Amino acid sequence: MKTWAAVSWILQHGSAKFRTIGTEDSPGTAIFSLTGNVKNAGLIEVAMGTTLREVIYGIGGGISKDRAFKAVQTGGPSGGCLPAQFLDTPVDYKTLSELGSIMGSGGMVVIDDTTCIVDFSKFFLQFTQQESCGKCVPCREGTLRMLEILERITTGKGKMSDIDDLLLLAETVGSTSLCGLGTTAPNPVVSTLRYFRDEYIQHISNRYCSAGSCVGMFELVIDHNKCNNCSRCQRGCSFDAISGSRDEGFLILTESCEGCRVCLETCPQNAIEVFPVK
Amino acid sequence: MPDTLALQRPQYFVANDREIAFFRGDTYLTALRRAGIEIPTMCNDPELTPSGSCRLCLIELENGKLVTSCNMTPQPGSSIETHSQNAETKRQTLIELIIASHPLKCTVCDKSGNCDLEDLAYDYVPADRLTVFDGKLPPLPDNEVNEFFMLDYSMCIRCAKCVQVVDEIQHCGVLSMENKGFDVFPSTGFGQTFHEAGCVACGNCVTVCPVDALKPLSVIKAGREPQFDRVKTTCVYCGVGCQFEFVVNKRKNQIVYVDSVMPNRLEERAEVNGLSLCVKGRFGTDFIHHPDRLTSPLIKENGEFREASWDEAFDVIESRFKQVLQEHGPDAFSILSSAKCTNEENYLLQKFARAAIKTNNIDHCARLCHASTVTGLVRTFGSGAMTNSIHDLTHDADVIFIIGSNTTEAHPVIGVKIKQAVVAGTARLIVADPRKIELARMAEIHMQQRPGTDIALINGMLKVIIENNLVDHEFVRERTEGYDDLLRELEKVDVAEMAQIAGVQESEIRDAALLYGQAETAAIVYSMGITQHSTGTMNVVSLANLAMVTGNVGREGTGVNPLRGQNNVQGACDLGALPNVLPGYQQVSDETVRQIFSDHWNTELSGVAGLTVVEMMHAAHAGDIKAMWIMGENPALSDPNVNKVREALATEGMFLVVQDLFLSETAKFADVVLPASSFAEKSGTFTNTERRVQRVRPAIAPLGNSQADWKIIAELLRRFGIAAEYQTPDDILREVASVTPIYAGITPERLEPNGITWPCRSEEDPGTRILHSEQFARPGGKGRIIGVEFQDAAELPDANYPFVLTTGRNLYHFHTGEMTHRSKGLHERRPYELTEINPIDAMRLGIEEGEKIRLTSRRGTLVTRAKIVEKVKPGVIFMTFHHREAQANLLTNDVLDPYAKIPELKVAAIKVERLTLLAD
Repeated sequence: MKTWAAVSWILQHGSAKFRTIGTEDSPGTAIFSLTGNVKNAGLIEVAMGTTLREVIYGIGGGISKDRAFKAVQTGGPSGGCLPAQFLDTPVDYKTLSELGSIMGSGGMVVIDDTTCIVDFSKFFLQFTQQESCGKCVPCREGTLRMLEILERITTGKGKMSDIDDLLLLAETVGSTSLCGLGTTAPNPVVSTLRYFRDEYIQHISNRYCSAGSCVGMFELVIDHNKCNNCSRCQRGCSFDAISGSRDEGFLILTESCEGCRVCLETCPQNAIEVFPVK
Repeated sequence: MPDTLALQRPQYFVANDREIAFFRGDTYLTALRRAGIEIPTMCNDPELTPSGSCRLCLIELENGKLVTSCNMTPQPGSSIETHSQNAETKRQTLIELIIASHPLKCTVCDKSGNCDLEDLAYDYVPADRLTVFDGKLPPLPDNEVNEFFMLDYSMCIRCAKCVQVVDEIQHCGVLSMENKGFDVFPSTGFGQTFHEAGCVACGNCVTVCPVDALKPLSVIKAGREPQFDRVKTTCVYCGVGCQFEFVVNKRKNQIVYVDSVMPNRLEERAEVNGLSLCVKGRFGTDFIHHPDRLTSPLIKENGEFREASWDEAFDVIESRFKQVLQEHGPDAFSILSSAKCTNEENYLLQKFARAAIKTNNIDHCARLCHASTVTGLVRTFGSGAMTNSIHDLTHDADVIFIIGSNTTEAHPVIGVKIKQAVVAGTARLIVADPRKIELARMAEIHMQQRPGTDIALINGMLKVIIENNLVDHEFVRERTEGYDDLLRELEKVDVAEMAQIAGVQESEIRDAALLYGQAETAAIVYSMGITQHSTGTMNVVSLANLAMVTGNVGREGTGVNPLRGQNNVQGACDLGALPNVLPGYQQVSDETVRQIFSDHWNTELSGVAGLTVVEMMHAAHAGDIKAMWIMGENPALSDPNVNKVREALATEGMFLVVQDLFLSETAKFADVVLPASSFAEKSGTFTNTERRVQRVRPAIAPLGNSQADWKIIAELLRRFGIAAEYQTPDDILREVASVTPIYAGITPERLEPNGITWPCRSEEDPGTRILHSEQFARPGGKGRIIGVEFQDAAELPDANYPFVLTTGRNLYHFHTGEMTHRSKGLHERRPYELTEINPIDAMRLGIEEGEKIRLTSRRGTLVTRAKIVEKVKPGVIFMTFHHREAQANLLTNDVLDPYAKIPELKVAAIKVERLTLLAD
């Protein structure tokens, strides 16, 4: 569709003019579905070579609730995940693939610091694993086993060898699958392991999810310096896990907290912080 | 195929620094395997399209990329690595992944020792990584267990080879993959059993299963590969001559199961059948170990059998035979040879008849199947055998015309190859058969003629071919004679009238004639539906006419191809178990020929042609036969009008010797019964329908006190003063070669790997795949066209006997059922006769499905069960002759074809009555 749109434009205006847009290797425009934790989400078209920062902070208007940018996944479920250090990277075919991601289907999912990177790659892998036709061994068997490892890690049952096994499986599935679905399926896992390995290790060795996402692997604590005693957290909690009052301030009761994160998301002051389980 | 490879110039690539030749059609895998480089695979079979699903056959290209070698065409000059570090690591992970979804029950698994997965795991996976990826297990639908094999889903690795066999080899549509992703599994769909889904139990899916998921029932707890021997041999059922392996537990002297011979290179697979077998060959050989097997000679005293030693039995036979010879002369003997026995045994038995007794009264059951083929084709072509090979018939024919052959049931593996050709679109199919047989469904034109009207049908086709100028005039002029005779005959023929006689649409005859006549290559396939008629010879002549007029003889994909019924009926005929010819179809009346044999056997021979099977029975009935020797045949069940045959066998004063595996209906009449060894216990050769002489090898030692037929005959030869110092059947085959010009080049040493097709006139002669390619075998070298006038069957339905009975075979049984009813699975699948009757007739007579009915002809009566199907037309009844409790041959007509002396087994007038009504 995108190609046909470009064809008609090129026929009207000529290829020379088309080449003035974009970069030398990737002329023309790119279309993305910008979504995730950004203020403005939607379909966008930019010239090739526009930087990620321009897209996310310019067109996207920055991160929702002005939280910290964590990563952006480009190219859909088969794509890769890029951390903040590449925000100034120009978006084109060559650069993205050098960094371990792709233009792919034009997905651009932005996440902030409350998204767990392991959970995030599990989300994409779940999609490809379900879409596998089941014909070839690496895709049929390998994606499931990778998913099971990620599941283990996000539930606090991971072991250090899991990372090696994940990489081994990713490499096998990626290089031996029969079709494109299988060969790109490990990309989210590979790219997150490349840029966020520490977060995986934290999950495994400390049973700690710093994003406050993996249930049972974090504690939520209210930073009283930021809290303005608005009581939204208490009103939103379904588990009666927040005690206190607007007068005396609030306290999260770890033993009652189910980790649903409603308080974290509703707090207007970003006053709720994530800590390892004591 | 190797001979086509030899014609090509090879190209080369480099693997592991070694130059590898490849040819058109090769993949990296096939070329590497030919060069002796082993590449692991789990989903590959050379007869199946490479699916590339297991990914184990990885090779590394120069650019470091890994590709599967099974489905990649080699690039000339490319350089690849087969076992690079990268490829090996990936292979290991892939195997670890397969194991994660497979139970580690190797210690108690029936497949252990013969399991591809077990072998690969041993090679690639360290013990501490066996369970490294364990997790969720694949879905477990209900297991299939039927009479023959089972499917254990817990063992399945979802390689889909079974589904590929269904789609690409058997075309039975039984299996496909259900679900997707990790939940995928091979399935019949809708929870059907295999049988309900249309499974014909060929077991070809079972044989390709690389693990213990699909397996024959007989293998369960019966030992494992290290305890087994594998012995390649030739199947004993029909004339296709499939090659298979007996898997034998040597310690127990027990055949465990039958497996396909499956070397992983296509060119090493059996030319006849590849991996294909049918239900009888694969699952029906357990009769060998049936407790009914005769294990000791039996002598009848006062109407009762008692066990006897071999010496005693031989003494009795020798003295009684000599007494008859002295008192009544040689022609008081009649000897029935066997199409189930080896070439060597048939040769010896006819040698016994001719050299020891000096009679030509020797015949065998070919009389009842293809005698008319021999007379019909000898008259027209000069040689009474299948003109072409199975391979070219099913690969090079543009049109295949099947008439009177229910190929998929009677010759299942040829049937499957025809199906493959039709599905692949290389062949268009015409079927003429009184029943809607399986192949009729795949045919472009199906003519459902009235039994016994084949000449009308073919004359109609010939007329259309001539009217439309589809005659190959050059072929007719150069290679044949008698065309004018045909033209004169056809002047009287009116196509519409012929259609009316045959009970088919005129347009069907016209369409069939045009399709056959216009084809570049058209092959005729026929069987008992043509031959077992009082006009059998002329039916065959008509087909020969059709082929000659259109120039469809002597080239690949053409010809007139009678499918032989018994495993070695071709060989029994070839080796002279016939009353008028010596081995190699040399006339007994020819003095020069007789002289050669006299010299060789060191005795005088009779020049008078002997009696045929049915004539022998008539003569015995009349009291003219005083001694009869029957080897491995069961005329008391297989011959027409069996009541009369039994009276003949029971004739007072006739000494009857029967040599068989079991105490058959015939053996019960015998004075001496000799226990013969089965084909699994002896060596020798069988000649299949395409004239291919193939090896039979002993898999187990003779059971009980049984002896191979050749040893029994050799002993009696010696007792009659004829030299018979054979160490092995190979010695006999060498003797055969020395006196039989068409077998002259067929020596034991040359039978590997795929046998030799006769005529093979010298040791340099590679054999002959296609007959009559230069000239016909008649004197003068020309084919003879003979005008044939339609003639009705001898017995037509009338007011008293309003139905036409036609007989045939069923997939699950063979002949009189002596073998198949002693096979557990086959018997269970079809324990009794189901006689086919059209719904309209059934309704009129008030007959319900499965109900007992009485069939009566002028010769006999029987009770059977009705199967109401539209497969037969109203007015036609079909039954098989496999079942002892409903013997079709009580009803059949023993009227003979005047030339071939073949009885009219295919048409008899009968009446049908509801049994319950009779009881009222």
